[in-house]
Amino acid sequence: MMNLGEAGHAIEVVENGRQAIQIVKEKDFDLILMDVYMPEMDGLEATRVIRRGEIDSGRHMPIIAMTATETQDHIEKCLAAGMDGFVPKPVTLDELHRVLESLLCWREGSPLQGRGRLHSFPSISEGRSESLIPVDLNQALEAVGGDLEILKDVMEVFASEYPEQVRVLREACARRDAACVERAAHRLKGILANVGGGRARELARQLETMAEGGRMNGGVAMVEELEVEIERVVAFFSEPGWERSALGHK
Amino acid sequence: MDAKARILVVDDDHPTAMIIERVLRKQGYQVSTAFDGREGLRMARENKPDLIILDLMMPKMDGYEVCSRLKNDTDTAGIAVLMLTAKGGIEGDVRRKFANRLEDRLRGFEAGALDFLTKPIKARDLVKRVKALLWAGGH
Repeated sequence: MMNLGEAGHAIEVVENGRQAIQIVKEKDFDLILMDVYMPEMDGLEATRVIRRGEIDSGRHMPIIAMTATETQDHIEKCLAAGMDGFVPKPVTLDELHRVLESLLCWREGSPLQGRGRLHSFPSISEGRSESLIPVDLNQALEAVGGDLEILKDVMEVFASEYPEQVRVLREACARRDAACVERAAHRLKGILANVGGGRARELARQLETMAEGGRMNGGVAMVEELEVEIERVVAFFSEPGWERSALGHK
Repeated sequence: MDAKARILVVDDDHPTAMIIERVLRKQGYQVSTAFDGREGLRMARENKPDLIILDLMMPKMDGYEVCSRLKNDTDTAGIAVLMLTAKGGIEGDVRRKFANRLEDRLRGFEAGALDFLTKPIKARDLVKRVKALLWAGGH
C-alpha cells in the first residue's frame, strides 16, 4: 500500500471486511483493493454486503480482489461475490497500475454512476468506443473478411431472431433458472461477438458469468439493459449510412 | 482440388453459421449447414464431407459428444474436425481465459478434434485453418 501512497493516491487501510463496509458508508472511494481472506468478515462477504447496499443508489464501487490463489474456481468466486477484477499476490506495482489504468479507461467510456449493475473485468479496449457507437465495426468486419454483403445478411437474420432469444433469457431470469440463463446468455454472447456487439456482448457475458456462479440477483434488470443495447446494435446496422463508416474502417 | 472440398458446418447459432458458410463459399468450397448435433451427424454420414466445423456449445448434444460419435463410426472417423469454441471466459483477464481455453482444447482433442477456432470468428483465421486442415488431409 505504501507503493500507491508514493504514487500520489490517497489511501485508507482497514483490517477486515466489517471495517471495510463501515468506512465505505462514511467516505467516498474510487477503488477498493480487497483481501479475500480476512478475520471476522472475509472479502467475499464484505463485497456482497457492499453490492447489496448499492442496489438503491445505482452506484458501482470498483472492487478488486487481492489474492494469492489464481485458480479458476477461486476467481469465479470473487466475481460471483461482485468483485470487478483481481491482482495476484504478492501485489506488484505493475499489476496495480494495470488495474488502475483499465479502471480509469472504463470510467471515461461509461460513467460508473448510474450503472449499478456493471460487474465487469474492464479491459482497456472496451471502455472507449461504447458511448459513441454500439458496435465494434472492426470486429464485425474481421468476422466476415470485410464483406459488407455478408454482414448485412447476417444482421438481418440476427434482427429477426434476437427477440425470441431475449424472451427465453428474460423468462429464465424471472424463474431463476441459472442453467438456462447461462445457456441463453452464452448463445447471445457468441452471436454478438461475431457482429461486433460491443456493450451488448459484454452484458451477455456478465449474465453468463453470473448464472455460472449461481448469482441471479438483478438478472431481469440486466436483461432489460441487454435488450436496449441489442436494439442499438440492430438500429446501427439498419441505418443507411453505416456502410460508409465501415468503408472508412477498412 | 482444395477449392472443391466439401465442408459441413454444425452450429445452432444461425448468424455465426451463416458467416462461416458465406466466407467459405466465397473461397470456392461447397458448404452445407446443420443447426444441431443430431442433424450434423446425419449429414456427416450421408454426405461424407472433407471437413466438419463443429460448434462446442450446443443444446441437447454438444460438440464433444458429436465429435466422439463421429470418431466412433467407421464411416465418419476419417473426417477432419475443426472445433469452434466461444468459451473465452473473462475478457481482459488473460489467466482465466487461458485456463478455460486449455481445458476446452484438451477435451476437444480427446474427442478427436484436430484444431480449434475461437469465437468471435475472424474470416482470415477461419480460411487459413480450413486450408491447413484440408491440405493435411490430402486436398
